[in-house]
Amino acid sequence: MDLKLHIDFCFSAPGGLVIAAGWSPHPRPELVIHAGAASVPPARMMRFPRRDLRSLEPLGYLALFDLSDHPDALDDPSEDVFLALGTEYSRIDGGRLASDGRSLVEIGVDESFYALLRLFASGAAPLPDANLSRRIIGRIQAASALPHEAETHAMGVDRALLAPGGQGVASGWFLPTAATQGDLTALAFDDSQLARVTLAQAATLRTDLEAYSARYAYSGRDGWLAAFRMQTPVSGSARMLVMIPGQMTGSGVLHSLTRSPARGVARALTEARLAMADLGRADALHRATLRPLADGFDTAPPAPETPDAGAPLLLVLDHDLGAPDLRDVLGRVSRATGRAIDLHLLAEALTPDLRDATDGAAREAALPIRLSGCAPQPPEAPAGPALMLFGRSSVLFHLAGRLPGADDAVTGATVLALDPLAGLPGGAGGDMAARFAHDRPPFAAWGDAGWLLAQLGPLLTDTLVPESALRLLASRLAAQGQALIAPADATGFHAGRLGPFAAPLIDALTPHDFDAISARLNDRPTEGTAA
Amino acid sequence: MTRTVIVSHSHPNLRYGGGEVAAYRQFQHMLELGEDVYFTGSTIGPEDSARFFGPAQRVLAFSDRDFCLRGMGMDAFVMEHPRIESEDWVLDFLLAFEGDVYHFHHFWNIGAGTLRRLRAARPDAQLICTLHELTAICANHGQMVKTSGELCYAANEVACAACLGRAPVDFALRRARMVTMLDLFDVLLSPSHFLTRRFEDWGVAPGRIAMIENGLDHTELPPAQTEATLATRSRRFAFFGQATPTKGLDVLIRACAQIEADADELSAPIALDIHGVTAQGFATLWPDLTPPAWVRFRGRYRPQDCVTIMQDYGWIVIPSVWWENSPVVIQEARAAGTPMIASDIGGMAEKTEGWGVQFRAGDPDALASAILSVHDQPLILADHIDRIEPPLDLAGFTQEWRVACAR
Repeated sequence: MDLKLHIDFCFSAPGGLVIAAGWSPHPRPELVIHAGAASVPPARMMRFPRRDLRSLEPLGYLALFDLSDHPDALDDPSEDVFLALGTEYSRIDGGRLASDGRSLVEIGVDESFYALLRLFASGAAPLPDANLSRRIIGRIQAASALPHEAETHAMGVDRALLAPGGQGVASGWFLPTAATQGDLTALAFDDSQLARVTLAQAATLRTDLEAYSARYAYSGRDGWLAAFRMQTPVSGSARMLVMIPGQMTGSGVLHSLTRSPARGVARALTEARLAMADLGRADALHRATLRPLADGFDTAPPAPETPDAGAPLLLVLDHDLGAPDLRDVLGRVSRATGRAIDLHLLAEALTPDLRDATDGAAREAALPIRLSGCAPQPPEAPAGPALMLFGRSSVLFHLAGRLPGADDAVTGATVLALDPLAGLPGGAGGDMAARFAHDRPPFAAWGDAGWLLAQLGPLLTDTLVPESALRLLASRLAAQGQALIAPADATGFHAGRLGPFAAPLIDALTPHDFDAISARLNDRPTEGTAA
Repeated sequence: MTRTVIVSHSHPNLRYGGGEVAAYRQFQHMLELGEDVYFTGSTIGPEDSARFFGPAQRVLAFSDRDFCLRGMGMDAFVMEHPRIESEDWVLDFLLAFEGDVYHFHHFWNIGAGTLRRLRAARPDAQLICTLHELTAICANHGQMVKTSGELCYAANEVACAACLGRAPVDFALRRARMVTMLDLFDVLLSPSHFLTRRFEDWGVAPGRIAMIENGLDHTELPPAQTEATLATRSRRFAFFGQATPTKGLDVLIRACAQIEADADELSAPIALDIHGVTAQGFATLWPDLTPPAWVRFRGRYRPQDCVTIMQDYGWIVIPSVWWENSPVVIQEARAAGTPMIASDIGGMAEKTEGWGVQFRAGDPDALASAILSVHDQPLILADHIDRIEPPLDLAGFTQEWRVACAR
């Protein structure tokens, strides 16, 4: 019998990983990779039948070797890399290590390709770079998909939503057969990027599926929930590939992702959280929609000089009060800052009442008040110099006396946070920056508009509420010494309950609350059990 | 000559409330004195306006000095015009008078924004405001009565939020807006010490509000009393007012029911006439209450006849379950020379002190006792009549007004 090790592809992946694909008639081939002084068995080995070998036996393999403990093993060109089965060594040259990944995707047999997808989906190997991702996406789209229902499985997708920023949530159900081994895995993709899907199987009760119990392994708890995050804003059509364990005759079940506002995805995620009994799994699902904290933020450029007294105030306002109250807020801010105001209202639409309130304020104010924009997100950086002031109306109304006057110097960013401890005898000290990040008090913030907005932009897709993105930015700027976070006495402050970000997503949970959960999960990235 | 513009939230040609009546009497009196004075009132809201105005019509001119604006409906919580165009128009109208003095008898239908802009546009004009009730303090119709029916003693954001089911911040904003608005006025007037104290407790600086009673022109002296008239009148009681829940008519009828239960012990017949309310109107509000046969509903009356009608009674009952401020019915009773049985709170307690019989507000037992304590007691009636001082007339009001406003 030919017990030779057949190596079709062998390539390296980031993090000191090597992936080998091929076939072997050996039922348990004891593969070893030799690289430099390291000799390492596979960290993970997948076996599967290959139609090209005309056998139902699992002759195909995909092996993952982890050389991360040997950081130099793959870097020294003078050292050869060998893949060995017993005493049989196959030399892998550096060129193959670099190019075989693309080759597998382009010309590898379907089963090896599908195994590679499972490797990515499981998280055992990092997702490939953009170039290879596009090739993978192209092949997924060209490959045969599995039906939703077959003798081997039945699977439904009830909901699959995707926010413009890349957050996705899905739910469905899965009924395997008694012989099925392994878990569902999934990938989401658009035209140019792949995302690993965190999928919580057996997460929800689905007693409605009992009629299937004669044909499949029905447990009563057959609902799954899934979440993911694409790293960049979505482009083109987007789909989710759910891979059925043991089924390599097709890529998996493909389902289109429905575009939804971020708020809709957050609501669906919140519903998913509520449906899960295990808080750890719920957190893992939520965490799957988040970008790591370090992403999207570099060291801030130095803050420019204070915009001169003649520069306008770009007021980015979350109006959380009644529409007529906008007039009072604008009046107070106008008097306090002594600058002309360009108002950007964080709202879906300018209602007649809001328009009248703005016009009323403009008729009274000593300096011009102009509506420059109305959208749920902050504006782009303005062309000319401007001082940006950001806040909720209720906060600015309360803090008007402490806002910067036209002649006040502004260095970097200034944050005034309504700290309930600030008014207490022993509450003025302590780590205000930490309280600002953790307790999430309402605040007003100001600084050079162009400088702040340029840095804020990349963070806006990470939160439902712009205030949360600005909180994140301010915390990072403070850590770099470019923002001052000061406490303000909260005595007499009452928060507004209106506006686009105060309306509950579900029950009493507002977008602010949702962002607070996201921030907590991002602060503690390892807490919670895997989904 | 100084030009005075008297502005009211309503116009007595269309509605006959205390504030607008006081404002209009002031206007008429100044007009009689030959002063350069204008009056402008307003309709209350869109429905009212539709009855009196044609399309696009903004003002009714009753004379070249007497106007009524088309009210577009103003949320008294916000106290701003619903549309900025309405505010623009009212402001333009007020500015067109080129007044030296603008005397406001309310700010509802005028708007806080209108007042701020008027102040800015005419910095040298004197702005005066007479506070007729507690609207600036209380968003529950300015009555400082909680929606649960309890009397309210002080406003604060959280308590008001609990009372009216709005966010506390709404009340913080409203208070700030009202304080700013009141600060615009050069002179604040109040027709009662009670109202003055409430505003001072709320934050208006002590001494900032001057107290002047509303003027009432009724120069005829009450008729002389005989033993016979005193005996007759001591058995006759009356209520003058509307069938609104805060006027306490239900308290009065419950008290009458108790008196009726012990009617056999009465030394003489008793009668109570309800003026301003019909039996049907009463039954609509309080279908479960059945007044005794000696309670008669007299329906509407002409305001100018009120004092004369009151002179037929021994006692006028004012059983309001809200504070009241300076009810015109008390002045009218004084003009009629008829003493009162009054709730022991607010403006009623203040204005009937010394010549009225007071009972615990909202308590039918106490009211029944008060009525029985004076029923068929001509000597007590005569004693109380003797203690009544005539109300301030319009000449007296104008004199006090000139002092308070330094005019």
